[in-house]
Amino acid sequence: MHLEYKVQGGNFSKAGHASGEIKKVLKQLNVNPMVIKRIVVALYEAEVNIVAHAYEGDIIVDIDDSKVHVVLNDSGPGIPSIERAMEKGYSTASPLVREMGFGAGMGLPNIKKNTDELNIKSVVGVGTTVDFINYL
Amino acid sequence: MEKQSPSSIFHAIYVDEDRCIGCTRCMKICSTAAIRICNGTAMISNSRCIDCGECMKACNSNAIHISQGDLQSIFKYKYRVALIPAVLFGQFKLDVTHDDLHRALLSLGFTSVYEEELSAEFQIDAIRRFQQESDIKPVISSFCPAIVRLIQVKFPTLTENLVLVKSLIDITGLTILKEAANKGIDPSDVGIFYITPCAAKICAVVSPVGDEKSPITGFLNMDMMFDRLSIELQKIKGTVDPDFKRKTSLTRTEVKWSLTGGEIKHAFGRKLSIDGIANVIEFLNKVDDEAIDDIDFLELRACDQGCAGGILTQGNRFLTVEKLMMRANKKAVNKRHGPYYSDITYDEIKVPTVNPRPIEGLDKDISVAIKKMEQKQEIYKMLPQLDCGCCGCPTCEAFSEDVVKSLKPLSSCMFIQVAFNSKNDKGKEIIKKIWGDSKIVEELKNKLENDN
Repeated sequence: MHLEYKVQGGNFSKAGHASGEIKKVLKQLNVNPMVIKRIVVALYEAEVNIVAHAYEGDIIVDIDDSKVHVVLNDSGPGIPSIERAMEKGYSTASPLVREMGFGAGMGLPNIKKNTDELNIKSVVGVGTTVDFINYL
Repeated sequence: MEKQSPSSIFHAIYVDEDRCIGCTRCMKICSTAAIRICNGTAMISNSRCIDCGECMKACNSNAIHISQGDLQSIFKYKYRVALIPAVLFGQFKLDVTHDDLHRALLSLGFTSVYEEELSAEFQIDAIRRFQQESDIKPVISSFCPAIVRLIQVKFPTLTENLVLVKSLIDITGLTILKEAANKGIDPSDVGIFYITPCAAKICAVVSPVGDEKSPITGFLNMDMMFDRLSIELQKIKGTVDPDFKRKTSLTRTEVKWSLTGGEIKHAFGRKLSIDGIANVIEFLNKVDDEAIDDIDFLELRACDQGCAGGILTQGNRFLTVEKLMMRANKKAVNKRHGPYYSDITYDEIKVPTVNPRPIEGLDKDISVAIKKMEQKQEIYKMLPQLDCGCCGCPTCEAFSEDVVKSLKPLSSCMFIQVAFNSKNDKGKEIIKKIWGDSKIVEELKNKLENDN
């Protein structure tokens, strides 16, 4: 099963919308609630990352009977050091974004914690791809 | 009391098929999409219903009923205990005193009267312990049985956020039995009857979540008891009973406990109280999306104004709250109660676990569920998406789900029928005029022909 969603950078009022929709689908597919929880945490963090940092992006989800594969593509500033971004508490979020309650530097570490396979590719000035798999 | 097998879930709400006209009001209000119209009457799904009572409030035909307790059944017991929630006081005029109400209950045949909220202190302890012993956020109050059931079916991952403690009714019931045992009374001689303000609490008494059995013997509906008590209160009005001595009094905390905001001040950290089932669902969706991670405690009530808004209450909920607040401020005591309190340990009031009972899965087998999901999305796209309810389902989404589950034929949809029946060009024209071309597409017709 294939799902696609568009995410707009800076649109904080809609942040989490795609994650919510995907959660609804996973519930109907009878995926174990605890597995859904992990996927939704990772997905929400990654979606908010696009909203907080990038100009725009899309989320592509493929589901089969063994796994959920999620790819988040964005065009945006990119991540200069993925290694540093994986550290807890490290954040490049603007003061404005932080004021809204985002940008605590827990995004990528949280995604790592809640996924079975995680692959991040980024080109500075072009964009970032977050690709993760959770097994069912 | 009827025994329930584990596979069937007890419900206190049922439809009177003779009165139901299939108007769809209840179907549209139901927050778990538990109702369908079938052969002209509403049918309630056993696995989806949470006994919140919203359908009963919405019904204009008086066709939704709640199981009735029988006042005569108390006389099977030598010791007959009336267990009453504080909101019962709020049903009567202010000149009816706490003593009057106890006396009226005794004259109906009870041998003693206890208030449900007498054990609220135990719940405060349980909430605080649960908050301290787990790193779960937010911890969710398990006071309202409709909310507990809502979480089981609609938010299965949040079952682990619920405080694992017996209901107030059961804890107070246990203290009553202990007190009786201390006096050398055989527990089988004691009948404890709970005067319930709502349907969900009947379920909590008949089949408590996470627990084998409740110490409560039976229930009596508050609307029926209001009528009976009103007559007794008339009889005792202006009289004095020199032998009467009331045993129990509620503290301010206890009087307010079942109202919105009654619990939260006793929990730690950042906390919110939310009432009304639609409000609760809106917020739990946020929590479930992981969008809220900095709230420590949630007090949730299915009814507006908490138990004052219970479906079986007689009085206006706002006035009930006002009267209870007056009582809390003027009549309530500040000190603790008698010795029967301390006899209960935390281990005795814990419940082992609350099981999730998810309702949303399309099939047990994930690969089949994926296929059905894809079909469902296809069907949904063909539907008018007006949620008219004419097919007997609350929404077009629910209908498309019922179609893939083979519970309804696609032809139950009026729009599909009109589009399919090419002879009926007039009907087609009318629908086109109102809803536009997009609702009737040739593709749809072809698709239907292929399906048949």
